Amino acid sequence: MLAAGAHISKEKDLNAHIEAFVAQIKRRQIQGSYNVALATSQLLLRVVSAARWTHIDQLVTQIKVLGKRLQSAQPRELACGNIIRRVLALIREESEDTNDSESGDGAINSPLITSMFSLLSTNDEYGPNRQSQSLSDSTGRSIKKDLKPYIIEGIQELIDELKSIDESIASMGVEMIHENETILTPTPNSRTVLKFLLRTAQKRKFTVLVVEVFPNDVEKTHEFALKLAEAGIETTVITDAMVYSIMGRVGKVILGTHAVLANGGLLASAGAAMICQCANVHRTPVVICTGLYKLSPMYPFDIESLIEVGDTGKVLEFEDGSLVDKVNVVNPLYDYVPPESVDLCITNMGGYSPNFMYRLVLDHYRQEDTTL
Amino acid sequence: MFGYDTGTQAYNRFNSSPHSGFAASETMGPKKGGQSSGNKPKVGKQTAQQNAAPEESDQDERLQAIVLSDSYQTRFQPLTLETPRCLLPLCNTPLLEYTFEFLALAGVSEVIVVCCAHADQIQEYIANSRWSNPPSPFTIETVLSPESVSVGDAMRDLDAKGLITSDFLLVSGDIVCNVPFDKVLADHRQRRAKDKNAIMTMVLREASPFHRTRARAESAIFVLDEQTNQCVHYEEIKTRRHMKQISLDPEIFNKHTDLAIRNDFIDCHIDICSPDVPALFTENFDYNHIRKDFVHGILTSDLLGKTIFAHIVTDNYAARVRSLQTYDAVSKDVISRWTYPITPDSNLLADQTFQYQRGHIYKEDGIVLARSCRINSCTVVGAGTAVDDGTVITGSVIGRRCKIGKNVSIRSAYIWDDVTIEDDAIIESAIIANGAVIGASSHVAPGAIVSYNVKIDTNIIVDGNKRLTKYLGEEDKKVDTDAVGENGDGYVYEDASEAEEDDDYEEIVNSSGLVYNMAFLNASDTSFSTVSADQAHRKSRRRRVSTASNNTIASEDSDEDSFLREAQASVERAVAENHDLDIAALELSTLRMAKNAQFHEVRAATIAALIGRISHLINSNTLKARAAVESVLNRWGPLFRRQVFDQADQIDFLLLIQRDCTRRMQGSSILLHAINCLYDQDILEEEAILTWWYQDPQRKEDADMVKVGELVPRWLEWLTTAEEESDSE
Repeated sequence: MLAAGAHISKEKDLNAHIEAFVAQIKRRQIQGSYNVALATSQLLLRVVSAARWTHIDQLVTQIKVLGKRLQSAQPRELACGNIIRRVLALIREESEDTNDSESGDGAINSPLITSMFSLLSTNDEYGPNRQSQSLSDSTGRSIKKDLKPYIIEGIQELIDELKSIDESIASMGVEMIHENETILTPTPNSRTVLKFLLRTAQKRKFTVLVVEVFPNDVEKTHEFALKLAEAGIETTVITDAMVYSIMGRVGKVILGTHAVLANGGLLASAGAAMICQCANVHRTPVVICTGLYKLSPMYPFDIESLIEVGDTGKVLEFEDGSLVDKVNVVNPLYDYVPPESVDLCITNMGGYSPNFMYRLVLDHYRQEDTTL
Repeated sequence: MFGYDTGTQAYNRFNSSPHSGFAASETMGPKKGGQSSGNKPKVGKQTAQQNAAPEESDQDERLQAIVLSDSYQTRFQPLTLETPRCLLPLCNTPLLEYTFEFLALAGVSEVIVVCCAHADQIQEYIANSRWSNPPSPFTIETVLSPESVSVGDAMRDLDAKGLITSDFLLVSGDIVCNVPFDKVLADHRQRRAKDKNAIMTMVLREASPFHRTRARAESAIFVLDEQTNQCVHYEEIKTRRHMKQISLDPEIFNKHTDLAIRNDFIDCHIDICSPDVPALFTENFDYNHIRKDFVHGILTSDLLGKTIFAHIVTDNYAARVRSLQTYDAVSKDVISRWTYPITPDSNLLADQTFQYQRGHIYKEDGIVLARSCRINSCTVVGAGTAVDDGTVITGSVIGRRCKIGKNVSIRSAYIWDDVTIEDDAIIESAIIANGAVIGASSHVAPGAIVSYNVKIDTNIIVDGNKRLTKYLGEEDKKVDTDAVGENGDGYVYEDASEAEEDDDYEEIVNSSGLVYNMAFLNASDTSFSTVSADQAHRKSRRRRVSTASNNTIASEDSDEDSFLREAQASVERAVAENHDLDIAALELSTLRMAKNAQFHEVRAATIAALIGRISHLINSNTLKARAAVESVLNRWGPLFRRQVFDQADQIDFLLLIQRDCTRRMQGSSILLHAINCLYDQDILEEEAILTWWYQDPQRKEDADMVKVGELVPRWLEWLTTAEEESDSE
């Protein structure tokens, strides 16, 4: 009796946590893909540790339902969905591993080689059909007890990965930036880019031009530039309009992203697409720094449905009554940058061509989870 | 162009160059504090902060918020006859949700909702909402205050119940605001720590005098100390009275060196109050209105020594839905994302599924749109709504489960849930409430309100100033077939306050409509605009008034002026209160002696008062010119006997009347009748009149004087013929 009561209160507690998360994400109290990803994974950790299931499919359905709810709280924040898909893939993988070891025929059933990664890795990859087959085949009684700690461990690893992502990306900076090179970055809100530059500055001497990104990130630009300057990097803030004229002197454009899509295209702060175009005209390489948690299995079929539209007041002063009344102002927070404009994606797994992104998607997500 | 020396220098230098200097001064300066600490805490520490937040506020002070769910106004009637104002939908979400969302953002931990009218509906709504369940960021409590008829009553009630323990946030249930509040709160607490008498902080959003979101009827002038933002004077603008001046206590200039007189705030009545505020309401039982009575009262009273501060917000959004006009404006602001992140697509209610589309179009799931219908920009369409062929919807809000027929045209209208609009109807800038039916080919003109479940027949034109309702109350009425047609259902709503002798009635009518009815309003509106433009202009110069110059102004205020004013007031009082003639005369002569004034001035003051009275009688249509002059002068004329003695006096007297009449409407006839009347009373003699008319050069001093005398020659003619007749006899 007591145990049941405790269980109910626990469930209530969990529900409250989910509601609070949804409310916070709606109010933009949790903002930025990193924070959203971290908060989502921590929430999932709680959910999984509180969850009870008799069959692994039940857990998958539970997480999917939850995922849909979280995703719809802010459909334009892709990181949330990414983490949910990552966890789903993790659960499926764990259950397959157990099945394999139980049935002992994993080696015989081993599927077609679908990627370069599976060639190298010892893990067995299954096609989607196979795997659901095996799932429903399995009895699942023994799974229940064994799997939970593994899944929790997996999510814990995911959280650790999130926290260390910037480090692993930053360590690649020395290979990317030459001595005395001029770097231009139009995404001052990116932590990843900041750490990347700061870390590299320990070994290399280079110049950074920071684009101001009016109107949404102007303050952040100034903070960003200040941090770089304090670290002894030669830093210059330039206005958005100057990008083209200065591009000839720039060695590399380094972009942080909001999200990377399955085709290698990306969402970055508004203005980035224009800057990438400038870079392409000048044949300046465009390098993006992104954690894998930003990689989304979505394709940009409808670009506008992916781009968040922000506070109108940043573009036009609300005080200006006569204009407010007569003009419709739209302030998109992000730009879609097509994959052709990007030369290299640096992830925590290494550097890849944008054309290769779909492979990473296949490696990290299951196709059946693409639509939550 | 780019000399790269050491990094810091390069950065600094560039920052101060004219290029980015613009952006730096524009955005970095003011936003620095408010925003970076507000909704965007430092990256990475986010979750930790989030978890720690409730505990922190526990240790700190728990912030209470009082939500006044009632507006104590009738502007939204007849809609508010059936639903409280705070539950009216704004962009398909009840207004109260926006208020709660703001309180959640502000970090409030305890909310007390004061209910008055429709308390049951509000209580039920809150009980079923997500705010009363565990994930809610605050505890919520409803308090009934059924007898209260004003904000003051509600505050006194709260004080009596002793619910308020610390500084609290006072808001009404109809605000939309996304201002990060911690800065405001920190400022307030800092001031409180320093000075216990700083009892209140008003949050004001900067705007322009003619901003659409500013309530036209309730705009006010704030006089603020530039350095401390202390509010030293508050004055409501009366549009009807064509206010051209405000008077400030000279003391203010002694205490404050820099003053800003401002008429450009959106005042949405978000106040942080100390527990003293409800107590003060109890002490001053005649305070009703929080601004007009309380703020004005506290600031003008020397005894209390309390101070009130303003917090001026220059970014973010703050507004209050206080009239139909602001309902329209705030809806537009929400749709065009000024209120971000509180927009329709953040789906404040759990069951909402709005999605944003280019051009500020918000659509919910499960909408049926015919292929040839057009949904233009700035439109919100709720779930389950069906729109048929050829229909065009522009800048409107459509609720849920509406049926909209073929070739309907809807422009900037607010259509709530379950409305049926039949083919070929036209709806412009109107509010159509839940369950209403608009018949085919009907036309709802701008400004009309069609309340709950009203049915309008086919081919009916609903005028812009009509408010239709089905709610009857206790009355028993037949269906107004003129207004809603043969098969319609509903009545024309008559505003109850119309019957009352309400001082502000005209203002309410002027400003409460959804749209400005220009034909009716134009005159008063334009004159208001000139006044305010003046004020805005004056304000922009923000003169520094030093105490020295102020003193000189005071001393120049000569005895002559003060005598004139006092004497005139004394006569006016005598007339109004119907004193005895002798007493009035005695008062005047005492004044004259005290101030050492000339008879000329006494006459001037008496004339100003009496002619003022006459012209008031004429203007208010109580009496015709002749009757008015006679009624006043027959009663009060004898006053002049003790002021007018010889012929020179009489001429001076005539000139004064003439001069005074130039300022009045129908001045010439007043002058004519006044001369006639005074002649009959033997106060004026024939000789004096003739001398005045034919010989005095001052009589024809300027065009006004000549014009006002245009009726006199005929009277003179009569005078001379009468004289001749008596002579010939």
